[in-house]
Amino acid sequence: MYQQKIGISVANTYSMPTPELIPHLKQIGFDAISPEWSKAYPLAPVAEAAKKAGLILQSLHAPYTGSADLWSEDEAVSAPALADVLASLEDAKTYGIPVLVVHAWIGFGCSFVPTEAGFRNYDAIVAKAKEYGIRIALENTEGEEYLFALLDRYVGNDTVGYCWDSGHEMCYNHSKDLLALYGDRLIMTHLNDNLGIRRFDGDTFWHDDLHLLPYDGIADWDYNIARLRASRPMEILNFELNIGSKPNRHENDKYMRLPIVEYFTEAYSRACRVAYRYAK
Amino acid sequence: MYRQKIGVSVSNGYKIPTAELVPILKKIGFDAISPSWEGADLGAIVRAAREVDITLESLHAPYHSSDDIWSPNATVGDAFLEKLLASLADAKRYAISTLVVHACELPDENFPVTEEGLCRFDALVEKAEAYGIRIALENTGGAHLLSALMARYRDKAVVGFCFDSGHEMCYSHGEDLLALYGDRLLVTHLNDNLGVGAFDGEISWCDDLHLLPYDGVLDWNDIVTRLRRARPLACINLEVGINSRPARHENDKYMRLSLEEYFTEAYNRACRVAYRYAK
Repeated sequence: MYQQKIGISVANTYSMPTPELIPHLKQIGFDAISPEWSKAYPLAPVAEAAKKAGLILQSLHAPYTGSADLWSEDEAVSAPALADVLASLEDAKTYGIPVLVVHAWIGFGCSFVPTEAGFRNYDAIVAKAKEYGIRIALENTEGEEYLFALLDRYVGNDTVGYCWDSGHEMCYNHSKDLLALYGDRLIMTHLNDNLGIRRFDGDTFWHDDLHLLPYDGIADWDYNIARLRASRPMEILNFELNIGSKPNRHENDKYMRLPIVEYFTEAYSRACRVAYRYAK
Repeated sequence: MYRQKIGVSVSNGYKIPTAELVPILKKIGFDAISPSWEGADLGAIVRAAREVDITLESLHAPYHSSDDIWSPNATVGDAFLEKLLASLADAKRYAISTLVVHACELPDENFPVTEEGLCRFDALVEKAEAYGIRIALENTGGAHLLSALMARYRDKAVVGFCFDSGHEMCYSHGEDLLALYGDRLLVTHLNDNLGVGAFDGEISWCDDLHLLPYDGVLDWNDIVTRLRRARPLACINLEVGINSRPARHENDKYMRLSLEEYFTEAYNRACRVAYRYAK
């Protein structure tokens, strides 16, 4: 849109192959995409389709199912997880993607037990990223203490910045104002909506992480935009949204009934509503 | 609605003839309609409006090729003027008090304000004065042409402004046109869109989505605030589109609705605006 670029994170499991979706995303109006790295889905067709359509590859999402394993003292556990993240970093280099989004943790009901091994693994990722000229965007998820520890560790290191997931902040971080803490290091956004933490006692669970379109949940977007405007300026505002509902939930069912192009058109409309207010 | 009349512009390309739509609009709650002259069976629409006692607020003059009126070529320019005069004559015939006229289509800033064009608008305004019909000049592209006309007829009570909220957003880069012409406001074309699509700001008619209010990026609190500062309107009018622009899909969701449902939703959105305007 005028004076503000808009990006969208893309997964690998839509009703059509992601490379086929990409020209539609361009036609709808998106300026950039951020694919998700997966062993099962090679990145090359996605990168080629983006290049052909004239879409920017803004970031690559590193694998995150092994994020807790990275903190393991047992190298047999941590090494495969580290290898996967490094493989995604290698792909980011191959396809000229300037940012790799990395989670600091995965898992619920766990204590914060940072390890020297964990820090060493993240140091290895950051060192290789620096060598490649790629920035690591550490994203807020559950287990925020791990994120805080890493962001503290890399203060002053230009290779490392922050990826703000607006939905995670509500459903995992009890709406703590993370942009107040790390907005000056913001290099990526995952903007999405949800209904906050469902449980009255505040226990968090991944089923609350709905990734709804902006304005379909309870997020105060005026507040979010004001905080984004007070943060490091973003050339591209990126949205990370889900078509499918979480298990035994139905909030996203309405998206599944739409033709996929119409869903992303609606996503773009909501993104414009945020981006217009961000840019003006 | 209570203390505020609400109108809607109607075109001629629905699944049913527009005249058959009119009683549906009345039932939904609209107080007024504004038909479009081009391609209309205006007699049937007017009869239907009178039968159900819905006000004919304005008539939309033909606007395709409206740049022609500025042409130095007499054949081209006069032909378009004749169409405008024909719609004006129909407004008189059917006692529609206001004719909405585009100053142009989407010319760039180099498009000339010609003497020939000004003379043709003079002829239109003179005839409107004779008929007692007001001319509401609508913002489209080509702000300098609208500006030239609004300046030329500053002291003509018969000439006023039609505010298209969507055009302001997607053709005028959000410039506050109500600050310029709000004291001469006669008609509104309220609708929403996603602003200018191109990052470099180049305008395109494909951005003119005519979405329902609150489906796009417009700040309706701001619009209402500006409308309240402008000349008061007995009727707030919507001009919304059911169909998507070519190769776009923003309006597809409307096309899946029945006409009753679509216009009911349009009325709901209009009420949201009108309630804030009237209170």
